[in-house]
Amino acid sequence: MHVSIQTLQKLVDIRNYSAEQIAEMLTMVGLEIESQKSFEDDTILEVSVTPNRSDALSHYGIARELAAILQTRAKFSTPTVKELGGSSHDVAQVKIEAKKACPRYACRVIEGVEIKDSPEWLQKKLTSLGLKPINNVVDVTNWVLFERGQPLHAFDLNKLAKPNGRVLIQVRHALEDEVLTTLDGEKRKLLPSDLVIADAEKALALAGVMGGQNSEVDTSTKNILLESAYFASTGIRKTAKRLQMSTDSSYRFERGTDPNGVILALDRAAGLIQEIAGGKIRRGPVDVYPHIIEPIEVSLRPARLAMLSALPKSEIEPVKLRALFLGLGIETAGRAGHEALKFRIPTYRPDITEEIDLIEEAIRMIGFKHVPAELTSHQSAKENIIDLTLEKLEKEIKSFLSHLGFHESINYVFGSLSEYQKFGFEDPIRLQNPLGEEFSALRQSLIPGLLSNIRLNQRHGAKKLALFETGVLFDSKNEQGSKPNSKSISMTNMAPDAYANETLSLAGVMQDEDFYKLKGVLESLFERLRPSVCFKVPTNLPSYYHPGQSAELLLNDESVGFIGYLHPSFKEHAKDCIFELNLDKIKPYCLKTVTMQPLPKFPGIERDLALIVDEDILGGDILEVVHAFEPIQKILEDVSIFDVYQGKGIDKGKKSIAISIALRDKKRTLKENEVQPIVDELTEKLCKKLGATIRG
Amino acid sequence: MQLESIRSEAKLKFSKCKSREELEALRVQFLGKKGSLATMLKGMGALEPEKRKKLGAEVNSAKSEVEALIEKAKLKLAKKAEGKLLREKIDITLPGKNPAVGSLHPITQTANEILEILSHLGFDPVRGPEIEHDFYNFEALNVPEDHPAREMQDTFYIAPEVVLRTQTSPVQIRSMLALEKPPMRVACFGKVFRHDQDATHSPMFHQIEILCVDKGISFADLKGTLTLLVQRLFSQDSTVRLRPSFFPFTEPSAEVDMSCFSCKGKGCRLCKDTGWIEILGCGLVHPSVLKTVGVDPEVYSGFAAGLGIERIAMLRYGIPHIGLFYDNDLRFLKQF
Repeated sequence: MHVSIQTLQKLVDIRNYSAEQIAEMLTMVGLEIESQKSFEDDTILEVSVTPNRSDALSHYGIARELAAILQTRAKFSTPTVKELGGSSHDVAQVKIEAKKACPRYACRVIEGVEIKDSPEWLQKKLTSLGLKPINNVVDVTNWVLFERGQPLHAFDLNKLAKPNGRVLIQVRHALEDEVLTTLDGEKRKLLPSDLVIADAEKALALAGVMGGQNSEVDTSTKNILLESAYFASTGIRKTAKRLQMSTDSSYRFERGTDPNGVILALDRAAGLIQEIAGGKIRRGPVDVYPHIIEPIEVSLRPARLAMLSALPKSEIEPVKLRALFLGLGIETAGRAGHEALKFRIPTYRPDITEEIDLIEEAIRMIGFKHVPAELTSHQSAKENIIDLTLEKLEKEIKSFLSHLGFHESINYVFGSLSEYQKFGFEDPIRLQNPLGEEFSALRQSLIPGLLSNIRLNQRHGAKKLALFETGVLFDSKNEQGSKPNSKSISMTNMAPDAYANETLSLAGVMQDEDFYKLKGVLESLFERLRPSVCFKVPTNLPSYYHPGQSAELLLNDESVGFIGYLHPSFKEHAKDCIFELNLDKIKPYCLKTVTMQPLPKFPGIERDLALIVDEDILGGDILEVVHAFEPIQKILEDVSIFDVYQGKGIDKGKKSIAISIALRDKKRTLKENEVQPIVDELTEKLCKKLGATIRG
Repeated sequence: MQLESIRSEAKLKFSKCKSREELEALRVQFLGKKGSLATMLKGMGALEPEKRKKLGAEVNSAKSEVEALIEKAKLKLAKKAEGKLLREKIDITLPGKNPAVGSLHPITQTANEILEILSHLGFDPVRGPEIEHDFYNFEALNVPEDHPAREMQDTFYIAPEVVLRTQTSPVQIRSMLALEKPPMRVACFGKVFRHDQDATHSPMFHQIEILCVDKGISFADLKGTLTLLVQRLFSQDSTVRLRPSFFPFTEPSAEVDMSCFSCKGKGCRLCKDTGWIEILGCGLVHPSVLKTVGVDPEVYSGFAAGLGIERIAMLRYGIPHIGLFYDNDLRFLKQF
């Protein structure tokens, strides 16, 4: 919201302060000045008003704050109206049907106005605040809104139905299928939840939001009906939101206006209209206000203020507090028992309803700078909601991979549905209101994002790029979002009632890289993290992996991830190698505290075997036979493949695989002559089981 | 006379010595137990004391001479070896063979640093779901359905009453419900989502939420914690300034500014000439929030603060555009 320094100056004595100082003062009581600019001889401040401070959405409101800060009095005038002619009631009557939505409705009748452009001073005022001058009457309603915070509306009286020679204004809910063309030219279909101002025949305005074209003030207008009302915030908010109409008027009603400021603003506007557009104001406003809204009383315990604010005692003595609150229009209303003070809250401050609100007002006006800075003793949360393993695991993985040459990516968790479908994710969770198709669905894999990063970097000439990302993947759990009940919640961990399954995943991609290089990275990672993950021929491979050049990662026979080349249908990525790992699943097996094994005391023996097998035989098959060979198990320290060869010297359709076997007995020195028979027997077994021959 | 010939032989041989092995052999030849000088002393016992003394002195002086010759030869050999090594030189100006070096995302680095500082202050890390029920994201945080504060945050909806969390604050509620009773100090790092996109707004960004609930927690504790955090994160001489603000789930609420680290408060482009940079929002936990989770606000009080990680990373590293964080352009990532 914009305010003019010149206008403020008329309301409160701020002559001795520069615009910068005023901006600083307001900012430090919570009315942040976002910008400041000159407009002719005036300075305009842009105030960012938080949604709780509806009282500050006008020059009066800002002036009131300044007066409280400067401990002076604001010069607010009570407008007087020169009434002429008969009673307003003879011309207009008001009937409030929707009593809850409209606690108060008032209007005045002005006859014989001359519609023309506003005088220069008013046009300048409005322009400086970013408003467009329209005509003198409309401009006055807008100006009074910005002056006093009360929205107003002027109807062309002659356009309203007069069944018995009198206008009957009705404040009612819209009828089923009722239609109103609002001032912006839009034909609005209304719902019974919308509040309208109507005459005996038709809806005239969308209450508190915008007037209708059928009763618009235009150059031919002679007589006007000027409205000033108090609408309940909820209804206005619903209508404005549904129709996506945020007007200066709805903005204020939504946040709450002052029911007891209705007549002041009405009279101020009527007087101003008479002054610049002429005409006669009929006697008395029509004011329907069946239940007067009284100021509420709120008590404050100074001890509570002292505890929560930690302000020094001298700053919060009762005398000081009373003066401080009085500056804001909050009067003392006696005491409430021994320990509490009672205050009467003006109706323009609907945000103050309980003690903590008064405590906030006190700290706000005294200033945070008087609050000391302290550090209390450290008390941690209990273990049941903290997963330090997870924190450590994620940190460890990230630092490990970055040290191995991987760069960390962070991608949006939402992406294009059609792109996800290319990866075989047919039905991801969708956003109801996405920013666009490219952000419409929630990811079920980190791979699509990483590949898009590869493509971007490829365009910039990156080669052999390695990227990784950790993040949550989403999978629907319930069909409907069940609303949790705060009373029935008993949680043993952080989110048993979560709407979706959220899995923490790790994925990586190596651009134009060998499968075995990436496999090596994972092997090293597992060595570091210590879960016993093995690489198996996949049984349940996602469709975006190459079916013949991918492996499934298993931990205790449970699938925890995949590694492999991309499916060749992803042409741009045919040489890129990817992996995915479910961190939630491997977490319980990771980073366990190691129990130290005694260092070997006796020398071991190493044996190498070169086997020729059919090319279909996998290296893993050989290792499996070795591990399963009972006589060797007690002394087997390690077995590994160190060479695979095909070509000259080896028959077609065959390959040579060389393995190295390390043997050691923990309790004694192994002898050559006892090892040899075991190795011979193993060789025989390998030949028999796998059809292998020894390479001579 | 025999001694004389030993001397001249030694002189000749040591001067021609070409290796350490040869030198050792020569040492044994002259000074060894069975070496020529030792042999000279054999049978010395039979000589008259006078002669014996003379011979002893002469042999000792010859021994010293040989020892000096050995030292000299050693020096010469060492010099020669050094010269040879010098000729075996490599071009040390050629580039090294680097192992590939990766990087951690600047968001990760910034968050890690903040979490580390917080952990020293006793704040333990917690996490919560990214898809949240309206209850945790709004209602329990004192934002009922028709509250204007909902407009502060444009929300992505998954289903009616199911949203992508707009803030990490729902983790406050989950933590308090899970812990049942204070004291508690937790910090939650995570992704949050708003229906918004421009130079400073991204539909996804990261926050760290801090929550402390205990008996007797006051605004002073909040101010102390934040001051320390800012000083550790930016600079020891940073100061913080609190401005009243509004968040539905804290009261009193404040925006926190820190003194501009670029101009030290004098005013520059970074701080828009104010000398202050807004970095986070905070406040005392609203009594209704405490009540919602079954904590008695008359017994306990607490503070909460929320930091935007992108904003802090942008400030720390001078990153001009928030979109750069999610492009994952290597030329960007590599710099951190």
